[in-house]
Amino acid sequence: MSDVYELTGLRQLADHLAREARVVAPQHDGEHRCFALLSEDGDLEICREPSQLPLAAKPFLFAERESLFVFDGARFVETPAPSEPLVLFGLTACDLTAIAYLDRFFEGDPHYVARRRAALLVGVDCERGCRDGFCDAMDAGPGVRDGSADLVVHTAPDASPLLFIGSERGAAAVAGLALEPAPADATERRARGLEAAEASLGARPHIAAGIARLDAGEVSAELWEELGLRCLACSGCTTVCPTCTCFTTTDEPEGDGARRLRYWDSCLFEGFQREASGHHPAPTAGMRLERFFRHKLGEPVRARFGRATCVGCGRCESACPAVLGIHSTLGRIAAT
Amino acid sequence: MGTLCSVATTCPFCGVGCGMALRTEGTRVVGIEPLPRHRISCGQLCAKGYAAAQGIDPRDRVLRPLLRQGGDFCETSWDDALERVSEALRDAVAELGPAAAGVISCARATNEDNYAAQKFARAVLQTNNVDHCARICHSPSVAGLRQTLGSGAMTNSIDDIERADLIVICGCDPTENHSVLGGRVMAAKLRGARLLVIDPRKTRLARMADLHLQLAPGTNIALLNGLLHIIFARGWQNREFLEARVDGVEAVAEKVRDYDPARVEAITGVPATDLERAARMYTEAEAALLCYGMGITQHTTGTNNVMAVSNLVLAAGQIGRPGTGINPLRGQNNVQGACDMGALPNVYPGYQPVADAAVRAKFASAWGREVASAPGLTSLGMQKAARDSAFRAMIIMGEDPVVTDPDQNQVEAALRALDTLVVFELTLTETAKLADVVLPVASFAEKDGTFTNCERRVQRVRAAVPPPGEARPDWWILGKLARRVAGYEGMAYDGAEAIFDELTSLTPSYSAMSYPRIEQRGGLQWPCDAEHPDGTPYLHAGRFPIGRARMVPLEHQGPAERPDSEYPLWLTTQRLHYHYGCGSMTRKSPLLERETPPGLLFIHPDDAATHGLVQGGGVRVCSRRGVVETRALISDQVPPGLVSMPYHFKEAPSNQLTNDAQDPLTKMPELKACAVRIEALPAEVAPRTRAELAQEAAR
Repeated sequence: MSDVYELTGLRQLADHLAREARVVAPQHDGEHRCFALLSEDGDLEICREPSQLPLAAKPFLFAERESLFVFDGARFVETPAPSEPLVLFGLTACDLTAIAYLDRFFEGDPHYVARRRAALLVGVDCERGCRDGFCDAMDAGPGVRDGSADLVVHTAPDASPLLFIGSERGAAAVAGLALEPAPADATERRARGLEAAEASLGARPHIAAGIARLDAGEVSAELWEELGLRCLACSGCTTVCPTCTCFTTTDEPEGDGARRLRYWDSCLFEGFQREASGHHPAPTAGMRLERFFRHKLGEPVRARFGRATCVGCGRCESACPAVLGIHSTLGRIAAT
Repeated sequence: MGTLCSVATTCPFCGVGCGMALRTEGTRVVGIEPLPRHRISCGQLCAKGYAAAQGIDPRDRVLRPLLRQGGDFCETSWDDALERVSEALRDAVAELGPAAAGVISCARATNEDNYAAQKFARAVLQTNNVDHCARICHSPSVAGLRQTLGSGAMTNSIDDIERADLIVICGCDPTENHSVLGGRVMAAKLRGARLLVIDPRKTRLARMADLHLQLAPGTNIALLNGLLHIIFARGWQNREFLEARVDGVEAVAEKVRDYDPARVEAITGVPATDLERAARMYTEAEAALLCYGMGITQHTTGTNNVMAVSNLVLAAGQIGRPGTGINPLRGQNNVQGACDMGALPNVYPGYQPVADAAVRAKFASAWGREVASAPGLTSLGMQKAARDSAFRAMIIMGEDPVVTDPDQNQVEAALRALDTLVVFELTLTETAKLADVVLPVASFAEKDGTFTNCERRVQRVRAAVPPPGEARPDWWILGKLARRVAGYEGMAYDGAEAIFDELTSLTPSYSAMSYPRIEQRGGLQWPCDAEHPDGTPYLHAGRFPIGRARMVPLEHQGPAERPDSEYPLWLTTQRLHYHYGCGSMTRKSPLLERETPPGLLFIHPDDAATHGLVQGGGVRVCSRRGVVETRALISDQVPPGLVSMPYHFKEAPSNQLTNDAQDPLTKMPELKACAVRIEALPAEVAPRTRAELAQEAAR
């Protein structure tokens, strides 16, 4: 798709999309920001600092608590996920890359697939790097990656926002909107803007150096245990990570039967991998931490999915009470 | 303002007071998100916080008032339940006088609920019988620090951890119990602050510490006097500070002369060289911030222990500046607030003494009703009076003393001896199961109000969903009862804010607070009054509330019960990161519940070998008071000769075993030290729960 338009403002696009679907966008209530339903008079204020939007839009695709089926005492009845059209508006490049990964991971999961099919993704390019972000090092930003969004908005100071059509579905979604064609240099302007954004990210040499040491097997068990001593197993990193997909299920009694629910889980919990026999493939906190980082960054996962599962959003750095976020940990690994 | 389906509020677990948002779907809270801009938690939470949605889920909640009928409960209307409760309260008072009834308020409830609870006791029931679980956590801090400094709360702020170059962690385990605060300590250590840990257990922070003083249980005063001995002997005390601001220095210097390092090493087991290093670290630090917890307070010498810590802090002058102070870490989300609100038998809101006739007159006039003048009973005092048939009717608001109070069999006997037990609860806890009437209450996610965290910061709690079924806020119930019991209309509030506005008008340290100002400022730390309209981040800058601080000479005295040939091991108690108090909320999370078996005994590998215990194997633990069966967790967290149990599990309640011998001043029971014996269960035998053991005993 190569159509490019000029928008009078983001609200123009959001209001149009809201005619056909519920629009979820970053909202704020005083100091608290989150993705939430956009109301007619709600402020639309794009937030491009992932740490300020801890859960991003993940719960709208992979719900933190979801009913899977009900057993009514005689029959099992599926409880399908909601499939009303939904627009996820204002997703940054890193979070869109994460969704592209979730699409692959959950491709056989009917609940994820139902929610995802119902969702139109509207991305926004970042104008500059953010505090903990290293999306460039993870090939996930700061510009929205091709194919990861249905519509992409590019903003620049003192210029009208540009709208890039990312998919046929995106084109259909704006079909009824009277849009001005973009100036001829729009694509070039976007490229220049993204170059500047990338330059502003700054060098983060510990990321590549840390990953190289991880791949080379140069991180000692002692170091993992030293780090693991600090891990509280709070589940903060896995809660805020846009690519963490672990869940558990419980069966809650209901009527004459039960309802099966799934909840977000965390591989940092000791109980997550403990087997019924008591055997544990990662019995120490250090081993669980190592497993987490290998799963986010390591070679075997990169080989399987064609990319690291870390998208460089840096949220884990803020969420970890134990200073074990990705910068702290890779920094420590790179320095030894 | 957008249409958020996510409501910012304050975490209901522990005294740190992290910010969280409740994500809702319809009338249900489905998830929790951290608040990056929250000034304390800065986007962090612990495992309990992330599991808070499950903790208050409508599943298992009490949805309508319940009446006991024989061995069962049946649902009834509010009208019927309130009438029965009112009648029972009126009868108890008519028969034996106001001393026969009382209220156990709740450190998990809001300030508004706690204020209403003490007002109900004092103005409606005409009794000072009002207390709450601070009795068994920081009552010695309130009593001890009020004597030595004039204020019993944390002197400094959580932010001050970043300003300290030495952090002293004394008898507390913040990475488990105050995890986000514990994280700040770990971060400070990584940035170069030094860390000194004083604890019989090798906690996580002890493993990271520059120095760990692993003292024998119940030897705090000997150790602290030993440090003071070295400080005075070497002339390391802060002379300028002591001269300018402290009385009683000479008497303490004289007393600690008896505590030479060799003697202290013999009592505490801590090498004399380590004592010297610790004394040097503490007095040399530019800014040393000391935190302490239940390891100091939960002893028969609890108040003296607190004053011994205070002596050390004063001698080194590590107080009244940023990055310093004496900081009791409050265990429950609103235990500071419950104390501030006067849910204690001896003080009105703002620690205004019940014994002072002018204070009583002030409240009587404001409330338009006579108030009680006779001194009140503590929670354990009410229990004892019930066993002696001198106390008939008790309201318990959201506490579970059957699991959390010492010597469980005595607690149960007391509650069974009551004519009427009324429990306000979310779920049928072990205590609620003994009630005559259970009244369904709104959880933190279903009501407005405020919590006061351990650093004296009052923060907003906001309703995200309506209460399930017919549940109501505690203060609403008390208002209805006030009308029925005494025809008193002075508690018919139309909302939490009206209560807050009333309490600020009567509580000097809260007098410049209001909901809008709390919201604007990200919470306000008391004292917050005309002189300090934006609150007070650290106390005692220029002077102490009592003018000059006091040092108090203290003598070491061992625990009331010591190991002997029959019960050869020390038992201490602890908490786990995954659970909170009696577990009534955290144990509803499938993730937290999966982390540990329902009950644990931490035991050193040497002791495990002696007793033939294997990792995870069943073990029977007996004290003079009771017996539990649980599973062994073999770990060097405890030294040989000491075993430790968390108290969260009703299946294996540590309080079957603990000693209710008490601190004479505050009636704090000695939960941190008693004597037990253990035996391994045969390999194929699973530990029996408390209920199973009780059934067996009955047969």
